[in-house]
Amino acid sequence: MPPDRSETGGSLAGRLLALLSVPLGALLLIALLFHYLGIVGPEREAADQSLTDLALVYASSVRENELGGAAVRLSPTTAAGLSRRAGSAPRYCLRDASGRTLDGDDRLPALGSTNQVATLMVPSLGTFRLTAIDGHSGGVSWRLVVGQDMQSNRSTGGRLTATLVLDVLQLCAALALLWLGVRRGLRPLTQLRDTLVRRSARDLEPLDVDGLPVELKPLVAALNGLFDRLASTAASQRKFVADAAHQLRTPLAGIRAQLEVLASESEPAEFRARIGSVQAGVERLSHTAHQLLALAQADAAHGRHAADVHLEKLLGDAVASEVDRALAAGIDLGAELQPVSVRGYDWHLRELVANLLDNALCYARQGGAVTVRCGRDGTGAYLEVEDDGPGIPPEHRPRVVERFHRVPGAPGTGSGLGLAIVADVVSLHGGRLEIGEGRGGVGTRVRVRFTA
Amino acid sequence: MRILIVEDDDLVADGLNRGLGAAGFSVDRVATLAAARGAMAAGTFDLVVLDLGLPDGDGLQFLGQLRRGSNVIPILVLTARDGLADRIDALDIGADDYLVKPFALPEVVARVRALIRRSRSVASARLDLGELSLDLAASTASVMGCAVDLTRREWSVLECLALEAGRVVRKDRLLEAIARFDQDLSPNAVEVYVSRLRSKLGPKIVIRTVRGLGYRLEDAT
Repeated sequence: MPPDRSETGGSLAGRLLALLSVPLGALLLIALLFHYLGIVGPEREAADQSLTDLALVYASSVRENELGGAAVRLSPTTAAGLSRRAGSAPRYCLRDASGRTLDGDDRLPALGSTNQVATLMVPSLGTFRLTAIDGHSGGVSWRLVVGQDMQSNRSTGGRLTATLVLDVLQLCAALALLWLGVRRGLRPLTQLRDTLVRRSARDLEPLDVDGLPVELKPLVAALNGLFDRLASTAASQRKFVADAAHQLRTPLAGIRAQLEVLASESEPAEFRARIGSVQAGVERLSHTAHQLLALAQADAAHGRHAADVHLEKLLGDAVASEVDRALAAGIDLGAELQPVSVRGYDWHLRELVANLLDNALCYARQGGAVTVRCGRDGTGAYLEVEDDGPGIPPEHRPRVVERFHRVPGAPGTGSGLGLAIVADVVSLHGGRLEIGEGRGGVGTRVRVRFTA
Repeated sequence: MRILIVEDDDLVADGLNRGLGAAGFSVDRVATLAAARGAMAAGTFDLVVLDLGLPDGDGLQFLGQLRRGSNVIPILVLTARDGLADRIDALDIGADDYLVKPFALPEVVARVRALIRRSRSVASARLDLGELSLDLAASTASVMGCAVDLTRREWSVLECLALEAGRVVRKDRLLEAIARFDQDLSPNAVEVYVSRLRSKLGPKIVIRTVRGLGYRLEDAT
């Protein structure tokens, strides 16, 4: 299933991080805004106050002139005071009631109302804070507009930038801490995941609920419920297998027995030959049915109690039961057994050995040899079955354990289940299956290693 | 020799009946435990072939009843159950042998023969394997009526093999059998006695070597 990145999928840590960092970021942005307003507001108020003061100074300096107009005439003291001010020099424009410019920079706009401070874009001058005062000088009534270039608030900008950079750094630090916290907080979840990943498909024991966070307990309890249901399914499967075994085996036994009687009683040779081929088919059917049941039982074996199994005894029994078959095929069947025991399942190990031996006897050459060994070496207990047949080409070795896989061109009438059963039983025992060549590079040697 | 077959499946029962009949046994067949109890009470049998899953109960119950009643009749259990626990249960309760379905008829016949031979040998102290005869009481053997002169250790090996005729006897068991007379046995001792036995018994009595495992006296009956 492809990973789902929608609302319900994706990373829980990512979702938590997103859900936490978005409001946190918004809060920090609001704080940033308040910082901004906290710096910019008072600054502006002070600047506006100073602009108003300035306007009053200019207004008090408006003098009637000889042309019937008026002009700003700053006293030398005032002019000197103004020139010491920081930033660019203020600009003014004095207009009469009809809007005619009497003095100053006529690029400043005529403001509609007085006693207000406004920000306006003045063409060819830039952005200005402007204020206006009305007054009379002699017979002339006038309006004075005074403006201060916004660019002059350099120091304010610097302080603002520093504060904002600090705020952004704070935001980043908060997000990083959040990330670490979320990861740490989700650790029980990752531990649970690791436990589940390591679990064998056959392990249906309940998970330990103790010591888990309360949020995980219902999830683990639900998983345990699922394991429980799976285990009871496995148990009913075992029962089914036992029933199926009975149902298949008894009629097969009847057919085999009848055919054997028929074969010994039938007189014409052609009848006997036909019965022989039917017998061979029933034989194969019996074998395959048994192997299918063995596979099902290997799947259902988990949870049964393992016991000490003596490999030398088990292998000896297997060899003893195949002596007649080996004799009939002219194969020298032998054993090299060292006493060794492993923890495991007797029935399943018998099936494993029976299948290995069956393969070896199928593929050993006429007059050849099959040898069964067990013992213990540096890595632990092992058992192996070796024949001197055609061998399994290296490129086919990984695939021969697949169910129903047969090496192309292999002789015999195998079902392709033998090594699959072997592989299942090996994995049930936590062992390792090694398929290689026999001594001198001839034939096949299948070795099963048991780890202590 | 009379055999009682307790088997509910007609096809299996008929096959066994004909197969054992062809091998010279006289066979009675019943399909239920109740009928089996009746047959055992009414007649004398040399062996019972017992299926476990029967319509009116488990064959193991019947087996237990017989053994609790000190009946030592040889019983060969035939069953579709092949779990290790089933096998151990049956043998613990008193089955003499156990075969899992689907079996090969010649194997049933061979096992039946071996079981009857053993139970007879306990009763009569004689064991007949075709041309080879053993007098278990006198510890003597003869081939085609001619006595064979055997040492005590050779006899022990032959007795072991003959009681299990047709089956592989492990080398270590044979070693234990002769160790009663000698504490310092070399590992090759068994091979030495087996090869002496072969030359004394002649070519008609076959003692087969199973490499690395043991020996098997071929069942010539």
